[in-house]
Amino acid sequence: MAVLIAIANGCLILTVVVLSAYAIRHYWFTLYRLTLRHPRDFMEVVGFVTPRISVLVPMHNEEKVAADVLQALIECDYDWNKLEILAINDRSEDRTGEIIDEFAAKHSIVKAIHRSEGAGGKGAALLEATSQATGEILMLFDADYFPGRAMLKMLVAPFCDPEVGAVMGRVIPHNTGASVLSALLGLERAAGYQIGQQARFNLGVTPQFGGTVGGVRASALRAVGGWNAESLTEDTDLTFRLVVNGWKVAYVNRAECYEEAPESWQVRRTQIGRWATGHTDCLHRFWPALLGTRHLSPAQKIDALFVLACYWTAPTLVLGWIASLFLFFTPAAHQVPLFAVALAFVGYQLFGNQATFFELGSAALLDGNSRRVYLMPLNLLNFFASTGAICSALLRYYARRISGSQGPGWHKTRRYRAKGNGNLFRNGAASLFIQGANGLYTRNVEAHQP
Amino acid sequence: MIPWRFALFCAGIGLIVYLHFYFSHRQWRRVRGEVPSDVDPTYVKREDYFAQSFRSKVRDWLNLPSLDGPLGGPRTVLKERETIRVVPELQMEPGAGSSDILVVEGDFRCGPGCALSREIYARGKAAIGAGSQIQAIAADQNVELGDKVTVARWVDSLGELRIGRACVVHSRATAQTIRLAMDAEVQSVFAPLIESDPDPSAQEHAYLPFVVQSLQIPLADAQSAASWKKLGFDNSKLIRLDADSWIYHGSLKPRVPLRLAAKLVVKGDCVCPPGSVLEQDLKTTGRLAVGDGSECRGNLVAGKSLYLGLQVRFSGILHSGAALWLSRGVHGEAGGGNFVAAHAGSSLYMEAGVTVHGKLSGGKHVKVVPASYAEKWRRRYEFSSEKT
Repeated sequence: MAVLIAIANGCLILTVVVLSAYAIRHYWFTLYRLTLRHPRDFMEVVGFVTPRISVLVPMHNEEKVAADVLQALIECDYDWNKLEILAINDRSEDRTGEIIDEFAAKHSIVKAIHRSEGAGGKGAALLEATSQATGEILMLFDADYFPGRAMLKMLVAPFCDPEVGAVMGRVIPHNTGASVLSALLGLERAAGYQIGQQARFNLGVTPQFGGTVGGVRASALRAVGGWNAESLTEDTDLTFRLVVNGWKVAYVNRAECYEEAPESWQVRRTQIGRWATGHTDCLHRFWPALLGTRHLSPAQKIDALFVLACYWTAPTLVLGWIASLFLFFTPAAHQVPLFAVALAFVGYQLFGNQATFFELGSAALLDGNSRRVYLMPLNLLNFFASTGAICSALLRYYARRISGSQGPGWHKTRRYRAKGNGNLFRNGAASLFIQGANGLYTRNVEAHQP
Repeated sequence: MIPWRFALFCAGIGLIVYLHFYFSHRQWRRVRGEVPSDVDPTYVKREDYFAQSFRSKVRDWLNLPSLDGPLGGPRTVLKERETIRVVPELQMEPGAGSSDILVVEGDFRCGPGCALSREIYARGKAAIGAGSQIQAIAADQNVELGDKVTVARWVDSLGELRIGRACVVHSRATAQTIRLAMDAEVQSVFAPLIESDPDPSAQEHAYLPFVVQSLQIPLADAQSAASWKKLGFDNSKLIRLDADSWIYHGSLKPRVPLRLAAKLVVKGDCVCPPGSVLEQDLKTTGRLAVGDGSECRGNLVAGKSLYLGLQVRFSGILHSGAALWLSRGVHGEAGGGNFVAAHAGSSLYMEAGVTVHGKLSGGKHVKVVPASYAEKWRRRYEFSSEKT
């Protein structure tokens, strides 16, 4: 029994240390962001940096959204002489290929790439498109994203800095009114970008390149070995290959782009499971290089490890709960003085997770959506669901590592746009653009009515 | 434990839990179907955005029914709480004031010490008297701000804008040509031509770079690395980033002019001696100074302050995390009809005789300063004008 109590105490101490470290980091970032007067950004030179760019849009069965993203990109305020759009039909079985061909036939800047062979997944599609791209900068958008007219100019501005290898914009779910989950994910995304990414950029540590609503310098991509088609999170993989090789990642908070957030718990479970697996896999592959590189300061290295290990907090927390329960029902354990303190802290994290909630609330306030902070108690649902999904995904991941078996394939996140339930489409419009009798797409005015 | 006390305790806890989720649920019911954030997908960044938006609003307001005059003549238009006064021409007496939005169909002039607390739109020329305070002004012809005028927001002219001595514009100034007098202060200026007035008290400085030897980075001949070390360049600190980019670990202060043939990131300070030619982008994590008569064809990015010496020519972006200094005779112009931009995280100082085709902005301000003030900067970077 004494051994079990010692192990439980050890687990509890580990939990307390890990969660405390993350809690301090959350507070640090949030307070830094709240007190920031002049964000370090390149907004004042937007429009003055205009290199040749290639926009890559990988699509797999995206007939519901393909026309929207292509039309939005065509309408972007960027010199067409310096712009090409590579629309990648990645083995689609629906009308995606036809839609791309229609756009390519009508607009000289759209180039259709049809993939019918080779490995599947976004990384593989990007790998093929990159070999055909002619731009100095490669911009990336997922098919369900809706870039505004100024988006390309805003994203390309930080590349005037020769040290910047990749740039990330801000992602905002447009369908936060569709379900409780998407509303909660709206809060989570706001905290992640408005606080986390912006604070990391201003503090000089590494914001994460998300693989969409962003860009990468073509020469930097080549120098670090191109896209990793094997990775489940090719964006995280690229972020850390860039930083260990001396490149920086910039963040542009004003480059806001709409996306579709998952509306059902099952879709969310799959998405966060994939992220947890890919992220943790990157942790295992990059931690030696991160610690060894001379391009990063100690603070940058520590933060990079925090980013890569973030999904470990879920199993660590579960371990803490189990240890707490065990110690609670073991009378002998009550003599350990640390127990009360540890239990209090874990309870604090469990029922409030105050640091994260502080970050969520602050992001809502910075965005001018202060009423949304009332939703935060419901975030417990998201918290428990995410914890379960991450633990389950990591268990499978480590089981595969031990057994040496192959990992799961890449799964596309489900699209909801055709249901017409998102905020942009609340008038029942199925699409952001309408195809006219002449075959050309025009902006669907109803979808944009305030 | 007395049962009723326990029941009360349970009821209290239950109430707290209920309220905890009740307010959340009520909020969810409110936000269901709402737009999450006011992202305008049609937004396009323009330097004269405020002025264009104001002009557009004025056009709409002028179609509203007037209170006291026919369409096309002097009249007053009410729009909710706004009063818009439309006049053919207007000349205000010294010290006069107005709290109406003014639309002037011809020229607009106001004497010294006027206080105009709302926006002004003039279809003709506009002249603001010395020491006046105005909210914002848009004019279809030239605008002249007298000495010590304060503009709370923006100024826009479709012709030439002259900003007088010690004027302060708290936001943007946009025009076709902008001339800034000594001590003028603006948050940002954008025009195809921006000029600071010449300073008669400053000594003319005719610098003719005479470069005998220059350091080319990357080195064309690796064998010569040892000799370059004596001249302030340690080739072992140079690491390749990609085919066309390098990192230099440490400060770089060569004793001969620098010829930068590839993109370079300096992890420290960098001082480029007079007569340097920066053909590619240069970034420093610390201070960056470019000596007199140099030519910068790439972008210059400095983590801290950025200094351009006398008569430096640049054709890319200048971006500094702290102050940015444009010395006398600096000329910024990009080819092919494009514009240059220079941004300072704090203050952008420009001496007299600076010409820039594009945009200047500062987190704190853009300010025209006298040559005497510039000397301390030059000493800081060991670029005393006597030396050069």
